[in-house]
Amino acid sequence: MSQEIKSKLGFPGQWQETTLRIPDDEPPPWDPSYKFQTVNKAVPRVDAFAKVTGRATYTTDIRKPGLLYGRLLVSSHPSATIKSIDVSKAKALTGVKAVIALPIKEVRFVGQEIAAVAATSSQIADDALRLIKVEYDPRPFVVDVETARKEGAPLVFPKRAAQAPEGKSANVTPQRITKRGDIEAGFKRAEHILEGQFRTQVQTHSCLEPHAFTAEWEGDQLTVWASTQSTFSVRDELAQVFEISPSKVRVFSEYMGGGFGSKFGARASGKLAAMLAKEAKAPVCLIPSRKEEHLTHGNRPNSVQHFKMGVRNDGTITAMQLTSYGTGGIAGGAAATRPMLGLYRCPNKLAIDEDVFTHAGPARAFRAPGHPQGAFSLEQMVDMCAEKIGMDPLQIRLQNDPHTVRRAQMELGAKRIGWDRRNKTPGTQKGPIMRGLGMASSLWYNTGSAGAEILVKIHKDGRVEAFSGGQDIGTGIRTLIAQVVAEELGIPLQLLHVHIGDTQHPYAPGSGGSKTTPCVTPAARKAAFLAKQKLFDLARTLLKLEPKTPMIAQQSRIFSKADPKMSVDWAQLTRYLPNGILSVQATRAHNYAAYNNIIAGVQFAEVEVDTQTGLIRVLKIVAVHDCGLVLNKLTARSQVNGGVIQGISYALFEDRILDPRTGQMVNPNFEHYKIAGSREIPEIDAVLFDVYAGSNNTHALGLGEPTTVPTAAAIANAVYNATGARLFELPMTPDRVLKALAQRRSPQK
Amino acid sequence: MHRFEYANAASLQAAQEQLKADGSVIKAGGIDLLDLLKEHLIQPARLVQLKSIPELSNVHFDPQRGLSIGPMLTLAQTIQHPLIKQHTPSLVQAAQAIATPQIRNLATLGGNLCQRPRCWYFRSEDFHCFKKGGRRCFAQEGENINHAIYNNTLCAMVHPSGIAGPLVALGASVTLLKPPAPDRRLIKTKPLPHQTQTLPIEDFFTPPERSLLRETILGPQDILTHIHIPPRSSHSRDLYLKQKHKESADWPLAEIAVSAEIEQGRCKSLRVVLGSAAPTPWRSKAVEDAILGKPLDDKHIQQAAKAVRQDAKPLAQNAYKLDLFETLVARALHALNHPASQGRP
Repeated sequence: MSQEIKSKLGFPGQWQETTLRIPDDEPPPWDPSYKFQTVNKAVPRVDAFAKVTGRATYTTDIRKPGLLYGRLLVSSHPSATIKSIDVSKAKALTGVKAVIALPIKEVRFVGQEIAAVAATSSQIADDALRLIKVEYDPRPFVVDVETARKEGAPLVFPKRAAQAPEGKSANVTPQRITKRGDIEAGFKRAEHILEGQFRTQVQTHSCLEPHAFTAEWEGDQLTVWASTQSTFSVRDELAQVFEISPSKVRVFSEYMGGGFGSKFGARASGKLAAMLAKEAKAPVCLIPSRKEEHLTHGNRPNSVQHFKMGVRNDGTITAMQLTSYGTGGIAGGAAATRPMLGLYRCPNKLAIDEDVFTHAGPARAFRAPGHPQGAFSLEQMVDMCAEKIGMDPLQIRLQNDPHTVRRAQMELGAKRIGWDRRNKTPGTQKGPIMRGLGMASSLWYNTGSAGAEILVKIHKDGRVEAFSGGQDIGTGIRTLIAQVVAEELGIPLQLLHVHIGDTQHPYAPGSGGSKTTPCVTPAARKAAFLAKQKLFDLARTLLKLEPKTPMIAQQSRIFSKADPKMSVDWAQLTRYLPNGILSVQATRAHNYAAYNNIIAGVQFAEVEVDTQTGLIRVLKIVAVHDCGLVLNKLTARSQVNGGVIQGISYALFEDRILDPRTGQMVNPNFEHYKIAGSREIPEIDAVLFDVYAGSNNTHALGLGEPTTVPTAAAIANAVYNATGARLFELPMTPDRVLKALAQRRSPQK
Repeated sequence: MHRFEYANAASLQAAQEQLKADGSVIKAGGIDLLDLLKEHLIQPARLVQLKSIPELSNVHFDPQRGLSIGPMLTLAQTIQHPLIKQHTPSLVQAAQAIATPQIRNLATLGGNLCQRPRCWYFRSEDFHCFKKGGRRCFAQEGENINHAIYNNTLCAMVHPSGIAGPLVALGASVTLLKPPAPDRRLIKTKPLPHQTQTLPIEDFFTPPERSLLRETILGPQDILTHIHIPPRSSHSRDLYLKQKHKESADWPLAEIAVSAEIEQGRCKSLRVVLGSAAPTPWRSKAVEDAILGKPLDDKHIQQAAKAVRQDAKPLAQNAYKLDLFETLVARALHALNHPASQGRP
């Protein structure tokens, strides 16, 4: 059933021979000596033309005959009991086809869904919302994390009252404690102990395409077009809600405009779209407003982190202790401890964290949950240690980081940014404009898992289709499937047509954890590999070769390995396909013993700080990242660019601001919720670092998430290197920079 | 959605007739109007479109009377206009720094002057503040990082117009067309004529203590018809600097407009106007007095820059604006004597 193969894994300078146990019908992972034709090249997206010409149909573009427009009524109170909902006037409005009031008694945040309407135009739907009378009985609320922690604070979940930790509010969850080694001994061994208090803000996902759903019923068959990062979870959730078989639900997501972790499942808006469609007996399209997107559709929790680190004069980090809390509104997920637990050799670690509930919209997974927050504190602490012992921040990292890939990335990145140029003594330039360099590391774990399937169909005209039910969150999976299949069959990309985003196609997992490429592409390669074996049989028959004659498929030809003149063209061969078609479906195997299971990554930032206005300008980011074998150099670079841009935006601008006195968000728009624009984007030197990882047949690992992890920390370290003032709070706005500079000038204040 | 009538005015007189009906409002570029409509902050019965009146976009120069600019000139046209470029660089600098190219193509000078505040409490229908007939200013005790540091005790809005500062600094005036006075004659022969009123632009803006519900003296049927900028001498200099958080489209944190006559390295006359500082464009007499007649050297500039702190009463979150204004004053005064620096540090 399985075979043992010897595989050369690693990267130049760090090769190692590894024995892999792989299933019999699996192609072995590509050998480093293999000459790629399509994979590992800079290949433009196969759907680029459709996207830039507006031909690509997103969920918000779906137009069906008789389509109705759905709108949501959301709570305007942060905490209240709903005494009554009167929808009669809304129902009576001409053009309104369905009104649904949800059976909820309590609201716990501004933006919570209460009711929905469907009407013949979005304007009528809006009018109808304003005719719904909700009688609220407002209750005390708390949106500020510090206040929410205190005993006696208004409770988000009154039922938790009895679970209050000693001296704290029941809004606080029990502490999660992770211990490694002996923290006390670690601090005892240290020659210096440094401490820092760090704060990070709430960031909303701000997907450019809202969480849109269009739903249509035909009898008990439900069809949904969803802007989702998990077509199959939308299908399964809706099947469960409406108590029908998943076979009766079909979900499409051919193109989608950003998810970042906030678009799993149908959730309230998906369910309401389907409920409205059922009641109105007509298709309904429900598109949340930008305000609702900010309030309701996910965020990255904030954090308050107290870090303590011990270091010896020789640079050895001996102890790391992080105590942190944060709020994800009515949801959890605020832990910021993962980077300190995962990075650096230090044997003695203690991580303590707790979630704090507040009357605010629920957090959702957000591009490397917990990591940008955790890296912001950890990577500044490492720099503080380095300064204390008079060591270069690069040197202390090289010394304490056991990861061979990241160490190589550090050396490479340092060269590309010109690390020698950094200020030996921060804050000593003449000013008012000061420049500096900083760096920070990241890690990520997800290497994909078994289960994804791909169907490949080879047609008699030589064209090839590949089918996956999964979605493209933006990483370009449509293109990657085409590349991998074309590579395996030895044919040009133009012969491929890839279908994705339809739950009637074979299964693919949700796009979370940066795992789409490592999950889906090995299935694609395997399906193509198995189809190729059948084509080899056909070719041997045509060429009158012995069975089992070793064959090669390359440059649109199938030929004998021993005698390349014994050859048949791709176009010629496919004409002989019995029944005119060859279909093969394959499943992604379990992971093999890989060269590395932890994805590395390091970024270097060069900044300019106007010390009189507090304005930070990022001049350059060198981002060195690995994702196993880079399947497409263009789409991979796009991932890095996107992660860095989102990281800069997080570092300097984005901030969900809740008014403490009303619980309302004061900036639920893109005018005052600031996102980096074109002028804020520096030169981004995306350096992709190929690793023959070996955990699957394409060597692919994830990339989407780690690329945004170290950016804010690298910028903060660069700001320190420029000015000598350390920024302990995100976003690094002019007022905070000015305050830090003033504190540096007169520390007693 | 709120339904309204859309009327293209053929002439100023026609526009005034169309504005007579209750609930009629002027539409210029429509940028601010659309935002107000979408947030249900206004429910006009009729929009009177002034784009169809060509003379409202005219620009004239007369050596005796100076520059006259029609308020329907778009910001994009302002940036390109040779007369405006030649005579009032600060107005071009201000127009250029506003919003995005798309908005500048539609937004007008008049609309920019008359837009409602961008205070986030005012802009949300969830907050019933003083400016909407409510009983409080939410910014006083709330989220006030962007708010006023001068004259902020009643309403802490900052004036939203980018071009207002330069116009105040340049000593501009505006002309309004007003409806005829009430006809109290016994025998009404010919209709009474429409009236015009010309006033310094400083008097056009109303501070909160004069009116909480509006920011200008414009009556419901009044139309802003001209912006006048007096002629400048060969010693005159003017400039405008804006500090934003983002370089891409963003509302400013602090602005400064300066207009001065420089002789032998000293200001013979000077106007310093701070923007995003107060509910109206804020003329800083303290800074003016501190530098007037003194040499524009580093020492005197630093002293004058510190004067921005006089009369300032920052709120809990916006004291940093004092540093920004001090910096902008210093950079602007330096640039008066060193135009090549363009106010850069």
